[in-house]
Amino acid sequence: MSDYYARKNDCRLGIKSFSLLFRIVKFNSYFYPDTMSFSLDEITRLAPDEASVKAGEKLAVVSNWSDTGRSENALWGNCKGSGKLPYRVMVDLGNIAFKCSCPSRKFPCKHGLSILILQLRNTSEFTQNPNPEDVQEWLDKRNSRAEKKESSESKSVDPEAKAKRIESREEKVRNGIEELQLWLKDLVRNGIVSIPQNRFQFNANIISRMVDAQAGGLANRLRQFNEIDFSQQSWPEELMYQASSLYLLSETYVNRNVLDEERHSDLEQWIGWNITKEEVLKTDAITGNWMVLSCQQSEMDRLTMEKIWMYSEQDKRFAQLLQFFAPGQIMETHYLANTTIEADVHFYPGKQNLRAIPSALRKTSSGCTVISGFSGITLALDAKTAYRINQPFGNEFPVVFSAVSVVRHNQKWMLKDSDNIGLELINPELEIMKALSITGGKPTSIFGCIHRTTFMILGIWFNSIYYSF
Amino acid sequence: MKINTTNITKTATLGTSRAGGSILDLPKELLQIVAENESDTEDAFLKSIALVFAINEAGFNGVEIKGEFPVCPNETKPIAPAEITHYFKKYLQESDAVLVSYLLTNFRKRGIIVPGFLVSDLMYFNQRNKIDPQLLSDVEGETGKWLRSINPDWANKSSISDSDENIWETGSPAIRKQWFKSLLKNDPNTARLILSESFSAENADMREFLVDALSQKINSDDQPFFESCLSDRSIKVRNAAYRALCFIPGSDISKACLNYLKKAIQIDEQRVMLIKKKKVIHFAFPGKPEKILLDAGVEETSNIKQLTDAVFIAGQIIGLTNPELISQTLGISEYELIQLLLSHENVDFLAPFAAMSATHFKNKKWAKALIESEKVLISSEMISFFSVYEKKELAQKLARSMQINELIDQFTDGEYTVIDPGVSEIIFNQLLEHPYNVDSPKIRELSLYLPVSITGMLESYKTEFTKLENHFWIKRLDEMLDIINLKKQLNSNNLLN
Repeated sequence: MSDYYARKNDCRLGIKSFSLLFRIVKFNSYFYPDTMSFSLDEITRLAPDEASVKAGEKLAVVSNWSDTGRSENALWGNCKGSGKLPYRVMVDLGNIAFKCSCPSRKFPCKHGLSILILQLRNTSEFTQNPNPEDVQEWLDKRNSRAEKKESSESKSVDPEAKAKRIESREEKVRNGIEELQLWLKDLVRNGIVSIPQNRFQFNANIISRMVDAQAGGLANRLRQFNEIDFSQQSWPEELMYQASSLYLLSETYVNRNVLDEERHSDLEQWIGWNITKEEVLKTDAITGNWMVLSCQQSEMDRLTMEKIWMYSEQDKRFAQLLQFFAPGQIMETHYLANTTIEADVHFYPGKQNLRAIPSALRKTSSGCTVISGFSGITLALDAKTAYRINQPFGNEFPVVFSAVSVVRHNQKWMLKDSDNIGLELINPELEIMKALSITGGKPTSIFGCIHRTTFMILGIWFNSIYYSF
Repeated sequence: MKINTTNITKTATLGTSRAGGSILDLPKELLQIVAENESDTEDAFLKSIALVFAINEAGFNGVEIKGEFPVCPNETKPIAPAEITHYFKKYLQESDAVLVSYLLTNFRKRGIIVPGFLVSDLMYFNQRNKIDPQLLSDVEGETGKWLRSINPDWANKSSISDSDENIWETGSPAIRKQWFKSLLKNDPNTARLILSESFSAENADMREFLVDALSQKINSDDQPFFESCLSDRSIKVRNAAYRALCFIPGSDISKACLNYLKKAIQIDEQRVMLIKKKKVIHFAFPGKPEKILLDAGVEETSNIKQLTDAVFIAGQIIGLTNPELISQTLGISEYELIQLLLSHENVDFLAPFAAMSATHFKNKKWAKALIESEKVLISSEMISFFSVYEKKELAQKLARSMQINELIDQFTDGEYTVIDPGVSEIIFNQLLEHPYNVDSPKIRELSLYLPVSITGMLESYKTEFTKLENHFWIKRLDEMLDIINLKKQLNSNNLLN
């Protein structure tokens, strides 16, 4: 773990050197090995709601199904429905995608879930066969669609038009940042004492302004102001931390000419300058087994954001994937915490950037092996400080602690290491109780993120079993 | 190094226009850098505080923790296997109280406990759904006990909690009565304590209720309390206390009852068809009952047409006396005595008092004879001391006399003992007659007791109701079949064995 950052820098150099040798790989074209089947818990997590799981369970009786079968990358069957003809159900095990001839608008529908449950309950009913014609046709269509998408993404663009677009956007951002700086200065000039009375509206206009200025990253940081708990005594300090950090970011943008290429790239991402998937996929991939340690969804301005933390034991590095869904949008890829996938992972450009995109996901298995992490909290805090030098505006620092326990100290829940050094926990009480329930207060390996001087538990290994939060 | 942020907070709260923008606590070198680059006061302030926060964060080395935090002892009982744990976790997440309770009872039967990682979920579930404390204690393992010692919300309640006290202090009479009854059942010692503390401050209606309620759980230690109630200012309370004292063997009133019945009841033999003899019961009037009996509410003069005072008084006293003691006193068996009472011309008057006595003194012989005679309405208390087998034999009669909810309660023992197929059919037929009297959770719970063999019958009813488009029953039958199939599936996979 200690040489994690040094290795990461080496990898960056590697990415640069071999950037021309990238290969276009089909996104998400991976398959599960023969032994892969989903647990009931995992199937439940794939379902759109509880009712679908219940209905799926009810249907998962052999007598309801006919012509069931499976291949290395698909599962299919006919399910008795209320009509004359049965519903044709197919599951792409590679992409975890579903197709069903039923009229349900839920995705996946109860038939899709049911066939997974049926396979779990009656493995012998699903003998290995080559894909039937319709299943193969569907899989081929999916693959060709994905390829089409990639080729359309990789179409060359008019460099002159692109330069014009960049120039126009830079101007918008510049103007937006000027307004943001003015707003922040007004905030501290007039004082923040009245903000709790107007906590939901005080920053609404400037957020809209940042969206108009195409500075989505800054708008998101401004939205975080509203997440401050204004009932706590520490709210002025928290607000000033965020405001000053945002001001510093805006100043960095104003003085961006002094930054090197990597830092410049980081800055653009912080501001909200999107890097296309295609550009990220051009970087060298880190190939190997990645443990999916945590998948957490949150609502963000009518979008659902899924944050996935992965770890490669081989490369000793973390990767953070972000997926965004509009209401009703179907997930392109389902990730399940406490699984291991073999994938090519491409990191976003920047200095020690943790954000990544996977491609060519090939295999998956259940469980995450124990990661050897920091033996003490002080060492992890030192590493976080080193990380913050490269990522001064990064809010989270992922770490694994090797032997820490959850304890109560001065009316606060803390993580304690063997040297009796503690770090305050910011998980909700429900999760703290869950952590205690799993560990019984005994020292164990814990994964989570350091946020400034606090820690958020995201997963626990206990008796070699991983429990994701 | 940690820089105090109090000044920052003060300045930010008031605003730099009023409080100025300098942060004196910042090291000189950094102040100089800020000064070189500042464009105005606010710019300098924002940059300075960003530095302060950065310095504080970089210099943070964790908090020193002193003292020990208790660790959970190792589990001594085996833990539920992973296969069944999947289901348990799912039902906890769905807050399915019926199935959670079913699996927990199964865990207890098998002597296994809930795995540690689900115990906190179970505790939260218990906060919302109130699992039987004994059941919870049996399956929560050491982890549960340890978590209870850490989380005050989950702590064992050996005495009443604040919210419970509020119910007793401020609840409506109906709620208070309900609460006291349940406390008496779950924690009789606390209930007796509350009763002794607040009895004198209650009104007559409540005092009567308290005496009656305690008499249901009576023991010889309660005699002084009931005796003290004999001098209560309310006649209702005094009567209730007398009634309660009848249940204490050797009390003055129980002796008076027995003495009176000894003199009042005569068993004679009558010749039938020249060769046979049969016993008959007569009621005589041995004089005015003792004062203690009159004080207990026994009335002297019959107010029922064609009913003599002798039968009228004796009937009331039978209701207060232990059938076993009456039989011993009269020298005949309990069975003979109840048959004689049931064959008496005033059986309609005597049977309810005999039922009262059978219920209070838990006399099966009398209770069975009375149920079979169909001369009385059957209450759940009257058969509360019957075994499942005994109830099964009386199922048809119970179905005719009891409400559907009460009937279901008779055959659901909390241990998920499968109900006999014949009885299941009787219950289901009652359910068909009174479909709206039973709620969905109760039907789901009942389904866990039904035998798998009933599936065919339920399926055929479902087909019937589908034709009639009776969605209420289609849904109910679906629920029942789902539960029976689930149970079947759990059993067939040997998950519950």
